Amino acid sequence: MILDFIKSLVPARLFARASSTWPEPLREYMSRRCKPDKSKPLREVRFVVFDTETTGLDLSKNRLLSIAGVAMKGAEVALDDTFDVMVAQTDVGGAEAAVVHGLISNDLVGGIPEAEAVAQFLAFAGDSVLVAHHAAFDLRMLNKAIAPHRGAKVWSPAVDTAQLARRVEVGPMPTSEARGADDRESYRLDSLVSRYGIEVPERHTAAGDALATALLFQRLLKKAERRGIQTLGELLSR
Amino acid sequence: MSSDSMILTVANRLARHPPFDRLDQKLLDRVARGIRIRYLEPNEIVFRMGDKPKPEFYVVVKGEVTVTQEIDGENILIDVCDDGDIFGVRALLADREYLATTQAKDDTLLYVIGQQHLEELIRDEPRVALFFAAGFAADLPQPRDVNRLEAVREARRQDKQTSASDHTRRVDPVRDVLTCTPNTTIRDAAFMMGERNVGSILIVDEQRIPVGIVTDSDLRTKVVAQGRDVSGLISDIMSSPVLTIDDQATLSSLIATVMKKHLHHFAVTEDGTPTTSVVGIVSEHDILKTQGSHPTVILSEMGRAKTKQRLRELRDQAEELLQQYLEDEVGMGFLSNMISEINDTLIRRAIHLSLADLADGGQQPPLPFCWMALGSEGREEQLLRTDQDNAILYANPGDDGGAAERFFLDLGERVVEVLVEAGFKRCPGEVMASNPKWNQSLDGWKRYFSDWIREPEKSAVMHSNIFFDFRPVYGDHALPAELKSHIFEQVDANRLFLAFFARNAVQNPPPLSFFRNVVVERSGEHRDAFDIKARAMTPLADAARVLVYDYGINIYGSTAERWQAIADTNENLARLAGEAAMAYEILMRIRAIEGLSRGSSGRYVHIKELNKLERQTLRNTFSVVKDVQLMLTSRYKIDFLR
Repeated sequence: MILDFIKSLVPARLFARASSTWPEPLREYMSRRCKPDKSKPLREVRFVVFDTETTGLDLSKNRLLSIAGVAMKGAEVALDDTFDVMVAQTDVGGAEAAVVHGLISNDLVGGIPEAEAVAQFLAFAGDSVLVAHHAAFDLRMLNKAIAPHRGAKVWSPAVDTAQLARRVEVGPMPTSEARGADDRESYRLDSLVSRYGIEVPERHTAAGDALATALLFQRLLKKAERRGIQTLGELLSR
Repeated sequence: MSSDSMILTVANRLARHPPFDRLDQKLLDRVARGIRIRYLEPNEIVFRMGDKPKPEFYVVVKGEVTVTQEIDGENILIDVCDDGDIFGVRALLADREYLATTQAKDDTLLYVIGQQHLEELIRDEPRVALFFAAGFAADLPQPRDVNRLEAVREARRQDKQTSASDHTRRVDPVRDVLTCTPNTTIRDAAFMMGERNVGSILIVDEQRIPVGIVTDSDLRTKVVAQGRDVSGLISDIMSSPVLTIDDQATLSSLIATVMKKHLHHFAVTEDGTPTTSVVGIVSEHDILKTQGSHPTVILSEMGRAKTKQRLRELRDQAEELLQQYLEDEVGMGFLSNMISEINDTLIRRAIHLSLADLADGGQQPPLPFCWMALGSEGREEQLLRTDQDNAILYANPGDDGGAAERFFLDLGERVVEVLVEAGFKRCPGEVMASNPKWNQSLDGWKRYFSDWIREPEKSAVMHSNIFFDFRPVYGDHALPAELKSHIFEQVDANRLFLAFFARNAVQNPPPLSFFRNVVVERSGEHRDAFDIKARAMTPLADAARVLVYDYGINIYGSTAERWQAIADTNENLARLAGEAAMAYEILMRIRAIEGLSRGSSGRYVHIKELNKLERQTLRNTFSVVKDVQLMLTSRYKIDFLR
């Protein structure tokens, strides 16, 4: 009752969505929400290949440290279209991280709060297709970071390069039972990168791994095209 | 927010290859920011012969790309581009169709760089402009020619302004250098840097001997970006070893090292070796700060030298300076100007000393005279000390011709002797002021030139052409000016002479191309070295000489300057002449570098020692030489003379 009374005092659209409290980049991202155009030729799709760096692999405890992404269009990795941000995590990495942050001038570190970092990244991605190695993990990290902003979530279509590699190398999806530990090993980013002879010196940073993943994805796309995968719909279908 | 570390990765990759290895970090960074990376499967085509140019060019970073031309239905392989090779520039600059098809041979990775970056490079980096644009001179359309030449002139101006002093100038190191021991924690080191507000810290052992360095970019890339534990040791992230120098290192050598090794900091130690203790640090910033004015020490010393020995010492110093500059890739125009200036100063001083000796014996010049440099010295194109080619021209004596003859011959002998002492060999053909034949009055010289011009068949034009390159070095300039107008009149009245002169310039056609490590001759013959002087430089120099005398262009200048004057004089020749000016400068540099590395005259260039782009650059000058020769042939109807 009381709630209804309060609602009647303020314009309805503010309550219609929680979006009023969202940071601007997140609002922008959410406003572009749409269904992927499945008939779009792969050559015309903007992909954003990204990687997140986290404190660990335990989803409940770990935190984001950085996000880096690079756009790919027309099968070209575009260095004029990249994203890289450090996340300020004062409560992880111990006091040490804070010490470093405090001592080196801010422009060197430029860490920003987790939710803001993810919001900015999502605004950079816009309505592009997200690509990551073991994408499910990264997507969960992104969603977790923006969880405080109720109602917002990552809606972008996503491609997992580990799955795509398996698909173009092995053919139609093998059953999960057929995959053993060896298989998992051979589809790690490290293994794929060395298998395809991709050189990226700064590995194991978000930026280095995002670039490595992009160069891998570029090759996988060529292979996929030769297997008759020509449109976004075909790429996203399982 | 763009990714600096991705850009850095790509920039570093790109900087392995010319011309990107020459770029300063800022420009390299700008280029890297615009790169697109393309992957090609085997047999995939980048562009086809006849396609319209795309607004981009390509650097191969992995794999191989074949370049083929389809001629009469047959595919002919003309080149294979591999790691670091650049393609697609020619059509882009010329704004014309691709002349060949490019296709990946195996898995290939290309860096694709947009047209605007190419234009930016050519505009902002004169050395790259020379390197790039000149290589593709033959294909450049007119409006851009102007920009290109402008870029080269700018390169000269800059070189003139900045480089002259660097040889002697030293950089003042920062003495109050921040140091720590290898077992300091990253946290403490970062704290010290923050407190002192400096960008680097030297890691030293107990004896203060340098073991490594950490800069704020190391903290950024190795600590912050990687989430590294800051209680770790500084020695885990330091760059090692540190480049050490002593406090006497000259600016030019430091600049060269910064450019070659991409190092930004030098530790200054007691004796310059890594085994003595640290006394200071020099950063790239300090080096840049020091670069500036230019005391032309050698020149002023030369103007004061009292003895022949002193002249020789100074000339030796100049030679060392030249070597240093060639190694540091200073602009060719600047170098030849500098050396001409030094040679001229030396000659003037030699004449001054000789005149003083004669004055001591009670002898004064009875008439105005002029000392003339001939041949390449006359064209201001001498780089290394070569043979003397000189002459004396004096005013027409009245009654007592004998006294003037004796005085000037005495002077000529003395000066030639001083020059020999200073390291300039005698001319084997005796074309020197000490030879009575080339020590003449104005009327005597007019007669010589009239004979050469009226009867070119007899005089064997080959041997007279060094005289047509005369340039006054000392004395009365009105005399050579009068001689020159006499020559112009004679040439005008005897135009057949020009045809004989021109025929000289077309006798040696350039080779067709290079393939792998050999020169491909038009006859199909192959060689591994080629005579850059006879096959490319002399034809251009000869052609320029014909044209300046034909047009009555009254300058004493180098071949490149002559071509530029021709371009300014005649609209129809502007483009070709501009290209010839550029080509000649390129050839001079290639020859000088070859000469320096082999300790020879540099006349024979060994193809397999050139890198791909140098080869391409050299090859592109051939088409300019060829076009110049075709132009001369039709202009002077040389075919009829044969």
